[in-house]
Amino acid sequence: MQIRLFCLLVFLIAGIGLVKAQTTNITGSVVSDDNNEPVIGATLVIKGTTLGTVTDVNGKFSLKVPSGAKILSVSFIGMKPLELPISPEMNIVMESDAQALDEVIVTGLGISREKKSLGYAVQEVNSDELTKAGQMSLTNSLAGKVAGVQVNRFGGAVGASSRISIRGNSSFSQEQQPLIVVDGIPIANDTKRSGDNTYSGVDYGSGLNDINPEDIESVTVLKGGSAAIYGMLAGNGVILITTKSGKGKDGITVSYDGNFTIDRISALPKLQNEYGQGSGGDEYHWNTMGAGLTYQDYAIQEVFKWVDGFNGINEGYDESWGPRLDIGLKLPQYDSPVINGERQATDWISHPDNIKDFFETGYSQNHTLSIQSQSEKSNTRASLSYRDQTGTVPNTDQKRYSGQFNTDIRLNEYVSFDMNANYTRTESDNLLGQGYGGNNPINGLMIWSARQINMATLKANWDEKDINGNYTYYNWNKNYHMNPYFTIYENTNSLQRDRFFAKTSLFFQPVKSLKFEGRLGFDTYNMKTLERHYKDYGDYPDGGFDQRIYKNTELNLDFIASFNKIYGDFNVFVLAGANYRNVNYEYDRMGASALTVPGAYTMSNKSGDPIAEMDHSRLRSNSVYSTGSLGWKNQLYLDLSARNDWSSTISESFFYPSVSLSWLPTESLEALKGDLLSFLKIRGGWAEIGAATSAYRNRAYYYAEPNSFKDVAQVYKSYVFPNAGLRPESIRTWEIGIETGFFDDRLHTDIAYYRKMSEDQIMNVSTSNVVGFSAMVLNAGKIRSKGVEIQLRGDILRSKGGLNWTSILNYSRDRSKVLELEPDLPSLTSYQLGWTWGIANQAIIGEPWGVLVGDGYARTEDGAIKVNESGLIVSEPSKKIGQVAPDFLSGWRNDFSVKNLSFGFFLDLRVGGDIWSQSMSHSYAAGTAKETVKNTVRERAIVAGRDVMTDERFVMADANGNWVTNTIETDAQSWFESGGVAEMYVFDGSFLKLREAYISYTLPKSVLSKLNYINKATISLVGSNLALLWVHDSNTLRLDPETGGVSSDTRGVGFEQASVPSSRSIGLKLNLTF
Amino acid sequence: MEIKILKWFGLSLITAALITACTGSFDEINTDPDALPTGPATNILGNVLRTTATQHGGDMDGCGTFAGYIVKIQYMDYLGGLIPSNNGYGNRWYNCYWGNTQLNTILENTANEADENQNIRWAARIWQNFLWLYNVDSWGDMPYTEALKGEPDKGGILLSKFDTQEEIYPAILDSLKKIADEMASGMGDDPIGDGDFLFGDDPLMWQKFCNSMRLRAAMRISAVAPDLAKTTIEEICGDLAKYPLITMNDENAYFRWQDSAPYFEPWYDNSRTRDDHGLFDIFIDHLQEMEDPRLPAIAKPATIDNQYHGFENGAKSSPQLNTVSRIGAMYRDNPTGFTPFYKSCETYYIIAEAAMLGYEVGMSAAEAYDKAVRLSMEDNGVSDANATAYLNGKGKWDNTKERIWWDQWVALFKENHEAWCLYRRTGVPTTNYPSLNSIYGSAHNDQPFRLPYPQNQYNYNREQVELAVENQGIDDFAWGAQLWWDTRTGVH
Repeated sequence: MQIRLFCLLVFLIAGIGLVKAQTTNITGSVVSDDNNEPVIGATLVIKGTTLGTVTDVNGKFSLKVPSGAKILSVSFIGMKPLELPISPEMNIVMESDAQALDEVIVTGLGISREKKSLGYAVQEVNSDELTKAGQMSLTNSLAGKVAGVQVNRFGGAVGASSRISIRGNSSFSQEQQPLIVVDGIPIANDTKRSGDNTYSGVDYGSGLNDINPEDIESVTVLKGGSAAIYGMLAGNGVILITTKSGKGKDGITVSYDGNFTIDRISALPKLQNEYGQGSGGDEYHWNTMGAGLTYQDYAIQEVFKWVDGFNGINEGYDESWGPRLDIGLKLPQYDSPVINGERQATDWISHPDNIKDFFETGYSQNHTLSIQSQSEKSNTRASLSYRDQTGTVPNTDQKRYSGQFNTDIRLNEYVSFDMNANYTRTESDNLLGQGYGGNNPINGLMIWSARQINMATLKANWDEKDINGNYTYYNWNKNYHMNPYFTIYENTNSLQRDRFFAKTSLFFQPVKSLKFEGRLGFDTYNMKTLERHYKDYGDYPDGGFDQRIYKNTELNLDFIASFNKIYGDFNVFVLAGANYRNVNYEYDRMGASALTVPGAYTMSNKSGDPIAEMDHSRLRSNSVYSTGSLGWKNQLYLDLSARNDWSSTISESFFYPSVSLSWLPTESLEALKGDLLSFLKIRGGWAEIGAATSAYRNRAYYYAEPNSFKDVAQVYKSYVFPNAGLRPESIRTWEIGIETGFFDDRLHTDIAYYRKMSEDQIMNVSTSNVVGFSAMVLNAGKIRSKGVEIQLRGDILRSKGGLNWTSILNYSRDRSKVLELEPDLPSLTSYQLGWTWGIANQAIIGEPWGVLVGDGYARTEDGAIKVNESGLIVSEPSKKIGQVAPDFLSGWRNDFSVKNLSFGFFLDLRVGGDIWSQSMSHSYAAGTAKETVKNTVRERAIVAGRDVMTDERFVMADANGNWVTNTIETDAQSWFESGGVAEMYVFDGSFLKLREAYISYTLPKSVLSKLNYINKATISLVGSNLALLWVHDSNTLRLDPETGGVSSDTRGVGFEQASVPSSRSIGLKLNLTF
Repeated sequence: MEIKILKWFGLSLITAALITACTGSFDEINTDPDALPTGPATNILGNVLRTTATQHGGDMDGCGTFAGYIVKIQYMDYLGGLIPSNNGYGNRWYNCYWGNTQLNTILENTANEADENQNIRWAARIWQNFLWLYNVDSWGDMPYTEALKGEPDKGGILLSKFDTQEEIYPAILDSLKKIADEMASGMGDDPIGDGDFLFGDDPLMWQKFCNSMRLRAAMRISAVAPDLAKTTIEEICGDLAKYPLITMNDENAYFRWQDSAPYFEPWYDNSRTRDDHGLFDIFIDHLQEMEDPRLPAIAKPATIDNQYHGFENGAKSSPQLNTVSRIGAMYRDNPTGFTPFYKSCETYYIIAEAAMLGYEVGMSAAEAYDKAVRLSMEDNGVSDANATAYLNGKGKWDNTKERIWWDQWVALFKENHEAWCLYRRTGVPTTNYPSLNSIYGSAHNDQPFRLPYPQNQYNYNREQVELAVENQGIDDFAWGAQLWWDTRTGVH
């Protein structure tokens, strides 16, 4: 401990220097060539000395110079540096530097740094890139734009959450999303879900989406060691969000940004339209079992007849193995008329668009009105925004109201303060249930379904009532599924979330070089969800409701001191601080699993025991940290940082150091720099960071079951073996990188290579259950990751007044390998990351992170698949059937402009990453997938290898037990309905998407000058998620691979579960500045 | 300026010192406020009992089909689910080990005051043996001697070997005998408490249940360990005052449910949302052929003709639903209904069979059979007159073990697991057959012999489970080898 504190102090002391005496005086000002505005804070240094100053708020300066001093160096971030001969009166004009090299970037703790000085990869996305295509949420607009960042979206439902992973997956934790820091303050990005995280639930969205993209100035992603200053919170990377401030033009500016898009379903699964509801109804069955009956007679007598939902033939069957459609058969159906008590036979015909007809056009709009004001002493921005979305699934919606306020006030040259505050209200009347739950209509619509259903009659009659005013629950099926319209109109899931986060800092600057900051950050949300179940055959036969209230508050107090001074060729920056963090979480739930009167969702209407639950969690941590940077002659930079964390969840304290170096050879070696090579930077860094744990994991507790039995509490001792000496996950990482600029930096490349070693994973290791606990909390495991990130930026065409073309290509690949789990437990060779429907996503020693394990094909040694006596596949349990990590990710952005017109598009490519699909598994079994009619398999007996899965060789056992080529006949229904094996439903999740496109026109000044008050006007045609251009052949349903299981944390990775088809948005965007 | 900086360093040091000082409350902060400070024994026992009833009581197909009682009528049962899984069967396996651990917690927490907690400690131990017995009869070899020893101070055994049934059975019987002898020497003074959902805080009932379990287990192994079976049964029947048994219907080990969610009787709870189950054709056929007066209690007539019709097991396709008999109201339509663990009639079926085996049981087989049948009739609400008519008619005692078994089969309805054990031991009902369209084709001519070991055994104890599978000669996860006490021939 003492040693660590000593280290911190050494960093601080390194910043202290002595101030020398000075002589004659020069004065002057610095202005920008752009607008003639004063440049505030420009650095002026007398060349060859350590003497210098910075300009004041009016861009003025005065400086005592020793006699004999000749040259004054002038520099300012974003401007081209100058070296000028000294004269007593100097009026300096600086040119802005468009080159990205001198880009300023926000780094950890909100410190602005010149990008070239950084010894690690950081990538920034600015507001323009985020909002250009009219994306409605931050997570969507980030997707694909940063090398090494993967954003997984969970289906096309309104309000669904996303999972962000940075530099692949290298943790076993459920939650391994990056830390989100807004204006220097960490905010919660937890996703609240109901349900079991395995089969079903409702996803109430990502906390990150409480921020209006239009209020964001920039997003910086700290990918590896660059996050070290966040210590125990940095393990999964950090996303730094800087909101828009009032800085800019003097005076008052009013802006309006609006967009309006229409959303249409873009990727419908490929379903068959040849056979309807029933079982054993195809030609094969008719021919083999029809006993001479005509197809019509066979169909009506044996296969399908709808009487009342209960007493007909196969009417309760939610599968499509019935008679062929569209060949003139007539059968009684759910929407056939009843005459004299008898349901009539009507045309047995297909409705190929029945699914498409279910979805509507969704509308989204986002309006932001902001004012900005800048004066000598202050700048302020305030905005109000309103977003309204309606989903492609009828009666799903989300509204968001938000207000944002930023101000920065300089009281005098010593004292200033700032304040940022953001309030958001998010509301939904109905968000869709996910996965296999009764409140996800996708199951009954597309998967376990009857392909002949007529959406029009379901829509027209969903609310049909009997003479007593009770719903008749009109539907094609009365056994398993509610009418999908009934589900979405009566079984709704509503949300209301109030989110407030704010930061305020007081700054005291006794001298120019030293600054103290007291910072308070506060983030709180208060969220209420109400799930109403009028009736649901499966889960709520007697109705019910479930209300949950969540409260979370996080308080961060920081005291920070920073020192910044130039000593000759050296630029010294040192910062030290301390942090106190407190997180309180509270959860209350009440509801009823049955109701007395249908449709009244209140406790007094409960039937039976109420559902009641409460949960609390409290975390506290204290930290001290320091970071320092030493720059030499604008070409060599050394950064050091150190942090020590104490957390209530961990008994020991932990120390996190980092070091990085950046060198610009093109500055050091003049000869290098030429017409070809304009810029070269070589960088490298090393860091150790951590990932902490949740509360209460270090001891065993007694708990009571949520419900008592006969009024007696049911108590159990936790069946997880705790770990008293729990440590945080530890990540050691290093990276090297090279940045080059060619042809005056028109071609810019940035290549990074990194390695990561994650150790001390906090694992809830499952046991075989027989040992006295089902899991134990362990600190073990090693995952090594290495990866490459490449960014290429080319200003391919550049011409004032002509066509400009900028192209940016991102590429990243991450290779992970699980090196060990727990050496003391040699039996532990795999660790479960996620699980659903019998398929596990596991970490297996020697394999990459995320291997799908489940029933696979039993193969002979030479690779043929074995079939049993019935000609169906023999399965083998616990086989490796897929790998969830993609091979690589790539995004390609192209922006064009001609005068006032600009346009562009963005392509997103992912190669690899396997997914086990519930939609596939169940739609195969239910005979709804197109695959189940391919190659006329329902018309005849089939043989595996000849008629299905023709690219595989199948073998059967002969009388002597030898494996010989399969000739056993089976039929399509047996094959798909009962012969399926989990391995069949794994598809390669590769895709190429046209993610965004836009055409934008800025009104010329000549037009605007006629329109009083409008200074700038841009109108754009925008589109996002425009087309799924390519998917892998194994994706037979053509599902959007950018999806996940019902849990949007690690547990959902590698799975697809009855997801809502994704939608394409096209619309208009308008930006006006007054 | 230097002074200011020095001041600031001082401040930093103070801050750092403060930070380390206030970590003192961290332990308190990291204590879960939603947890209970202690685990009262009666509440833990109650939870284990209720959880066991939830896990075993929900079984309709599965053991119900294997026993020849119930078939699926909407989704045909082709035995595709008979694979290693942590759900369904796997939950019952889990419940055995989880329940044993919870009950061990009671024993550990009361170890220092064992004399003051005798009754609840006995109840805990008896239920532990019930759970072991249930598991060994479902799966055969299983971790027993090396089970529950994962904690470092209990041996740190994370890869438990599987013990053979030949080893486990005598150990269970030995443990139950010890408890029975301890109880016989005088009951304790402590209440078992509100958590005794099975016997309503009646230690004497636990004593009867303990001896009844011994009777059941002993008869199960009568063909393979005749000496142990005989001595056990003769010891009990030779001194019923010392080793009392469950002999009356109001003593039945019936777990009774409550009238509200989530703890409705599981078959009733299922009926709220599902109508997947009809009665097995062999069951209805038998009851009709025997003119068995229990039929109206066990089954409902089909609505189409008001007649009783069973349905085939694993037919090619689903029947017209109104043509099949469903489970009777007493068993399925009562939210506060029961999950049976032991019926008093079982005592007498076992004694009758023991008498046939020549054991000294103080009663003739005919007497015991008569008593057993009358208890079962009473339990099904059949009048004395109708019971007598049956006993004088088709159910007349014919001095064969088969007569006992056939009647016991009918009587065990809803105690599906026990009935499946009866079938595997005796081959009755002889009419039983596996799914007609089983995915295993003709590889098997009988109902499954056992349940597949759960997926977690394959995931986390693979070497041992594979050794156990190999040692027992199990094929297809469930067939290949009959259990130790299953001596039938010609089945595969």
